[in-house]
Amino acid sequence: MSENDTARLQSRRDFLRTSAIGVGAAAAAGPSSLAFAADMGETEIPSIRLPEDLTTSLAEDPSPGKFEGRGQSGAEVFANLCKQEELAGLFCCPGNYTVINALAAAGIPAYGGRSEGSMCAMADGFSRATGEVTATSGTEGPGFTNMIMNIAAANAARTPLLVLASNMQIAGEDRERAIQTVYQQPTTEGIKKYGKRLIDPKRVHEYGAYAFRHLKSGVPGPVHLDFPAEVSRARFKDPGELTDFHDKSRYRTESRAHPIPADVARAVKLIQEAERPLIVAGQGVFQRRGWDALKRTAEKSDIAVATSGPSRGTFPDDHRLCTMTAPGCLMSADLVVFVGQYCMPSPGEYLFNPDIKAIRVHPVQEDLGRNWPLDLGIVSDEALFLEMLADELPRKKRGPWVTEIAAAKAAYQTQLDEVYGLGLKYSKDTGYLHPAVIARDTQHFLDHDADDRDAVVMGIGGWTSGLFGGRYARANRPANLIVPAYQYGAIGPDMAMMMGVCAAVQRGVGPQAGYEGAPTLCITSDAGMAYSLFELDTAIKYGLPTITIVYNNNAWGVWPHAARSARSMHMYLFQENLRYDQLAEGLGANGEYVRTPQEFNTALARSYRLARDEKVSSLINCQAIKEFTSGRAYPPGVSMNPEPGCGAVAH
Amino acid sequence: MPSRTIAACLLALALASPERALAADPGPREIESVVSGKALYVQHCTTCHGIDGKALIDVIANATDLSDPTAYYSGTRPEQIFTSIRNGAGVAMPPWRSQLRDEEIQHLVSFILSLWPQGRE
Repeated sequence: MSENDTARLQSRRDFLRTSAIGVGAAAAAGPSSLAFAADMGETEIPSIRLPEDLTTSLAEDPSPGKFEGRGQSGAEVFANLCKQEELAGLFCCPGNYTVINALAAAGIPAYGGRSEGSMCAMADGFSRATGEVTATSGTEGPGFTNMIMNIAAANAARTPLLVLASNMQIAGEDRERAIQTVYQQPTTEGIKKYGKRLIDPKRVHEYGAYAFRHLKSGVPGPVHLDFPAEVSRARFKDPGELTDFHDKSRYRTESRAHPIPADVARAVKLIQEAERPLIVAGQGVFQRRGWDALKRTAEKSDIAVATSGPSRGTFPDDHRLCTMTAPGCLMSADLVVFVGQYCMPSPGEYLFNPDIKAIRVHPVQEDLGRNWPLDLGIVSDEALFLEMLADELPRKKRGPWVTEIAAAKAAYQTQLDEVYGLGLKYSKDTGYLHPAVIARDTQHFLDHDADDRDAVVMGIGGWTSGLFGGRYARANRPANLIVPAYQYGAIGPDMAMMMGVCAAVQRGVGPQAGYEGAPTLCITSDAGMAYSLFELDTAIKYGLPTITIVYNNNAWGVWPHAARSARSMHMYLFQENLRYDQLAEGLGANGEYVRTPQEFNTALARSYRLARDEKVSSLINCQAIKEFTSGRAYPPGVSMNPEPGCGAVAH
Repeated sequence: MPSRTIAACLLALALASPERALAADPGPREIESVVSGKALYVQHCTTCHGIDGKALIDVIANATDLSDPTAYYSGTRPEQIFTSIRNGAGVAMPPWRSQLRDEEIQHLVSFILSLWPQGRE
């Protein structure tokens, strides 16, 4: 590094440190303390800095609406209901002003960012990291439609996401009055669990209750409410003016379906008869926080466990019974118990023997038997089933099965080591970073150099980067690893989604409690990152310490689709050698540019320290070449990972 | 499906397809090869080519529809298919020689040939 580089970095650190402190204390420090000023000839460029109004606004006390005096607006009635329901966070862009202002004033943690789509992904990420209901909001028309991809991603992941948007006046219906008119509810058809355009102001509380009944019952999913001005701005001075203005204990229940003892007895019998039983613990086990019961069940009877879903780690990858890194043993399993598997595969999509017997446990009866023929279907809450099963199962040792799992783990690790060796060779030969090196060295850093490997939540996205990264990334506690592309396969939410995760970690919500202050880490691609890069501004604004590793291969990772087609390749390519690190610096983050494994490891260590110690976000631009995707030129190239297992994205 | 049932199905398919590389009257060894090939296929090939070989998932680089020999880019003779698997093909198909023995690749060829439509020349 040259002296100029060193000086630039030091100057930059001064800014970043001040910027990070800013959210908590910048009001006291004042803008004059920000030292990052570029000199371009005689023109002095003003520093990047946090506005004073930002910190002032964040420091204000909640001021929820009251019936007394001027009364509550419809938006305030709804906001107070959300507060009582412990809505965990709001991620939005301006628009739907009355509602988002009321939610923030009610004391709900709120974040405002640069695009509604990315903020929707942040809300999804917050929920994937915690299991809690989170909200997203945008203006009617453009803001709302900007969210669509990420609402669909949340729907595929069964995220309890509350989607809010303003939506013109009822009086303007069908008249194209003013601007931004759109019929919202048909637009979210097929990507939500429940939706309603509120048209009667006095029913605003009633429909808020509808929303939370759906968000907190059965299989979760997005709920979409759109608010015409007549509803959000209506005023109420007495609860009697509102229909069904009940407390949450009266408009919904926490009661859950318990399994029938006879069903549990049949499950125990099938498990006892099996030689190589396997539990697939899906998103429902995470949502219902059934991880302790899952572990107790597995260990009591030496039952293997695979996990699935967008939030990984409900069973530790490093546990002796975990098959996530042991795909070679899956074909030997003779009984599978799906628990809380919301997104159900069909036979053939999981690497199981066609003769395998199947039990499925699910909270909703009508889904049992869909896709996968069952030997036993059980309607039950996931955690309650696992607790009862753990109680009822006799202790049993399955030595041969445990030995086979261990052997399969060793074989898979050998494969990974071989691919990593190839990646190092390819990196050396070409002078560019191979994705296997990025993926392996990132996990290696967390395992050996981070203060606490379990504290850092990682998210793996992008195409080539995602397929390689998923193989090496490990999850050893609930929501230790997020799968942004889960099921919907969106390339793009990754970076913003992990910022939402970071917000959850900083607040220590749900399973993130105890890890406050830890950075989050996202591996993504140049294609995926483009959708959320500007949210670096949001991360820095709120002091969210994120590290984003960008696999920059100058192309959409799916470019081989054009290899045999005339006049097509140009559609898959970007300019080469783009400097995303410089873009990050322009947004106030730390930027790193690397091309070798050594440079990468140094940059990662530096970024980790900056995030941990100074709450500064970093973007590491890993320059690569698109040809690494090719299995022919650089074997093994990309391929989908076997499921269920590490790197699974489909189910 | 029990292995015996798979073998019976494949035998019926083979008998109805006299022009295919599988013998018109396949012996137990050929049937065994197809069954072994299917097991290997399920483990190594389905993520790109799909469980039925039709590659309708269309995710990984326009993978070849193995059930349609007219769509093959690198030859349809058994030895050409063998070479494509062993050494890789096109841009995306990786060489499998380091992961599969030649005998296993031969089983895969047998299974792939069994995916061809009946009566195909």
